[in-house]
Amino acid sequence: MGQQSFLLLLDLAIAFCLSYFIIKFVGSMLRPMPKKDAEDRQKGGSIVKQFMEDLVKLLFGLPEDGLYIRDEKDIGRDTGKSEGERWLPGISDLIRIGVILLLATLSGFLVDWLIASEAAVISIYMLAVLLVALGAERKLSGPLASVLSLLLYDFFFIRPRFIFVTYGREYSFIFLLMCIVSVLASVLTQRLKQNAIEASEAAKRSRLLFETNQLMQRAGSTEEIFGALAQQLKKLMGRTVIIYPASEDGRELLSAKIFAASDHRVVRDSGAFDKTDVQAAEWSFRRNDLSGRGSGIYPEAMCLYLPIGVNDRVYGVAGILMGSDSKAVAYQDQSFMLSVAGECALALENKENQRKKEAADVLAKNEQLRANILRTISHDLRTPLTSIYGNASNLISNEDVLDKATKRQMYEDIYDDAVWLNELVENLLNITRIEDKRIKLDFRDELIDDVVREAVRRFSRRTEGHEISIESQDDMLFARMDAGLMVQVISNLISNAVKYTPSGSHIKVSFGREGERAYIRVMDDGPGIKDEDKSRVFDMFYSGADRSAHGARSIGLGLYLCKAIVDAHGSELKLYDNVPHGSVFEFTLPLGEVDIHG
Amino acid sequence: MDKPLILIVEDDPPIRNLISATLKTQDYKFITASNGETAIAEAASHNPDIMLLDLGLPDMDGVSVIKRVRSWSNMPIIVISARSEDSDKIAALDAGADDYLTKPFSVEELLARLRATLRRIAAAENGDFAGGAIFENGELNIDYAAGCAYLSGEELHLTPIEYKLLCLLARNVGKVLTHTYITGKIWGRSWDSDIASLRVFMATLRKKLQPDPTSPEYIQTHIGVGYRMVKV
Repeated sequence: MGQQSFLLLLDLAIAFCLSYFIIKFVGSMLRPMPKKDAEDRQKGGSIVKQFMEDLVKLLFGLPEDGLYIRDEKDIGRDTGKSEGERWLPGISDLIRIGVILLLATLSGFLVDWLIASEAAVISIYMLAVLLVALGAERKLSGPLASVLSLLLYDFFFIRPRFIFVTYGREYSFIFLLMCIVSVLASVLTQRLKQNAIEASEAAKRSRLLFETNQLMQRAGSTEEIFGALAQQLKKLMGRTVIIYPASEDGRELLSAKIFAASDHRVVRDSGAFDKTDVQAAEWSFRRNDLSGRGSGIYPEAMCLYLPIGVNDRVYGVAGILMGSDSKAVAYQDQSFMLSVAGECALALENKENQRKKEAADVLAKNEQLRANILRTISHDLRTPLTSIYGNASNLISNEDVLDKATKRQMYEDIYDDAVWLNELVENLLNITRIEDKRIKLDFRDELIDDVVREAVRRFSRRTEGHEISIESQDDMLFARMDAGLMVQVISNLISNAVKYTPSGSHIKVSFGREGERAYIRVMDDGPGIKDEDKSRVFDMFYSGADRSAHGARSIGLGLYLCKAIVDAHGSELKLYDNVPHGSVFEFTLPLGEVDIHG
Repeated sequence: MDKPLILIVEDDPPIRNLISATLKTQDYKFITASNGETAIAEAASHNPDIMLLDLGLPDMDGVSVIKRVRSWSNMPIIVISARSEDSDKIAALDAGADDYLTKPFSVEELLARLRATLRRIAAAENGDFAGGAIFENGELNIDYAAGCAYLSGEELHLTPIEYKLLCLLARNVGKVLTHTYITGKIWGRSWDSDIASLRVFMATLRKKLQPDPTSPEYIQTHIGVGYRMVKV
């Protein structure tokens, strides 16, 4: 009796050691490691280990690059559990073992009763152990199942039954084999599970990478791009992300934006980290490399910092809050982070290039516009100046010789030219005021009646046979506008009407309330403006193809300015035909909100 | 009245010539100055009846000239400024100027302004407006003592604010009063909301004084600057 018990215990011990050895060695060969170390390993490393590797590869038919050697010192995945726990069976495993062995035992009874073959019963337990090992989550579940099977078999099937005795040597061998089978099966299963997890992780990363690509392409502003980066990093790591954008000139880091993991709002809180973190971020920025927790540089920092850069240009630094948790980041996650940061940097670079191009375009356009203006004006100014010069010098030299009527005409021409030049100067000054975005317009609630009358008053001298009338629904109507500029608009519109309609035409300025806004219309009953010209009249330097009704010249700025001023008031200057003929220029303004108080 | 003496302060010679030539046609006497310091000196030594002051002087800000002169004299000051800039007109008026001319101006405008100002001085000297209990301007009559106003004999129905405005303009007839000056006098402050209300009150007041476009205009609106009651 004693000897058999001893043998049983001895076998148990051998089986245990063997299992341990297999799990430790073979299992470890099937875990991942950074590729570069794998290559190193393949060069160095002991012969024995090399041999075992090849053997395992061969036995399990694993692909070349599917096999990595794990080195304890390397960064590994943080599973949140210590090594020991992964060995001992948990509740679910124990229940599973219990159920399967129970079924096995019952089947054994059945088979024994039907066939009475020992081998059959042993095979059933072998199968049971295999099933346990395949489904088990912990490493010792298989060996435990083997031990229990052995005991069960001994107890229930070895005669004499129902006692733990009579243990022959042949059972040791069977038992050992059962153990090996169970251990290998569980190791393989573990590995398969691990592979499945990793495959899904890899798929998740690929999906995130693709998603990142899409987000970056769609992102508009720099904020959006950084936001997308933070969002993707958060999705992968499930941790708070901090982004330090670089300044425009790329010389320094600006203050951080924190993307908290628990909610999706950007939270401003720059005091959260101490010097080490700031230094680590700076270091990453300057050297375009990883730093912070888990790396060799500033490992005591709270975050892991990665540079957001491409082609030597760093656009910022992203920090992932690892906390005081010392587990670092898996290799695949690292690659992902760097790719995503790279995408971000590319998107930022594209943005910057686009901005530079736009700025250059605007500059070129402005230059051209300025050149145009200078050229046109200098050219067009010559005519009235020539006329004034000529008339005045003529009068100086020949005053006594010229007759009164001629002299009168010359005086009037000089006067007209001066008026024309004055109007041009006013228009030009107002254009510069409008186009210089730095000048703020003075919007106030003004009585439309006042503004219209002032504009008409400026014309009292020069109506030249035109009748200008004012029509209003409500002369107590207030609208929000810059009075000085609006006078210019109405004045220009009237001037235009006078210029391009024959003598005897009627010009009417009407205003009133329409819905929530006030309208102002300047209409004439002249020949009107052809449809194809309607859109062009507002262009700079456009003057009617046919000469105006009086042969007076136009430099074409009046309507351009009107449109610019109306635009600056947030409205639109419309042009349509009057019935039966003529033109109507119309625009609206916001009603004044005047609060009368005593 | 003697031929009035006008001080022309203008640094640009052609314009100075233009003005002096115009004044000559009306037989006005004049003296000229081409910068601020000289202007103040001339004003002090000759005590002109009216000062025509260009705002673009080389040595001093026009507003400073006005302030200096106003410290010892009430002489009417008409400033000349460029059209687009309302702010310098307002500053000049608030500093004590009475009226303004915008460049380019015609001689008719210049003469009209001068005539209006001279009439005002003459009337003031005759005690027409100063401290009088009654104000008369064309068909408009204000009885300060009784606190009511009449247009063509009919009593005007004015709210208290409108009446105050009318009196303020009447006491300063011929002068351009800025928005800020008026609101300061009526409400004691000049917030944006006050200036906005002022426009409304002035609009209703003007309607009452000028029921249709053909009747005479007593109150002129100077866009962006202020209001003035004119002597009809």
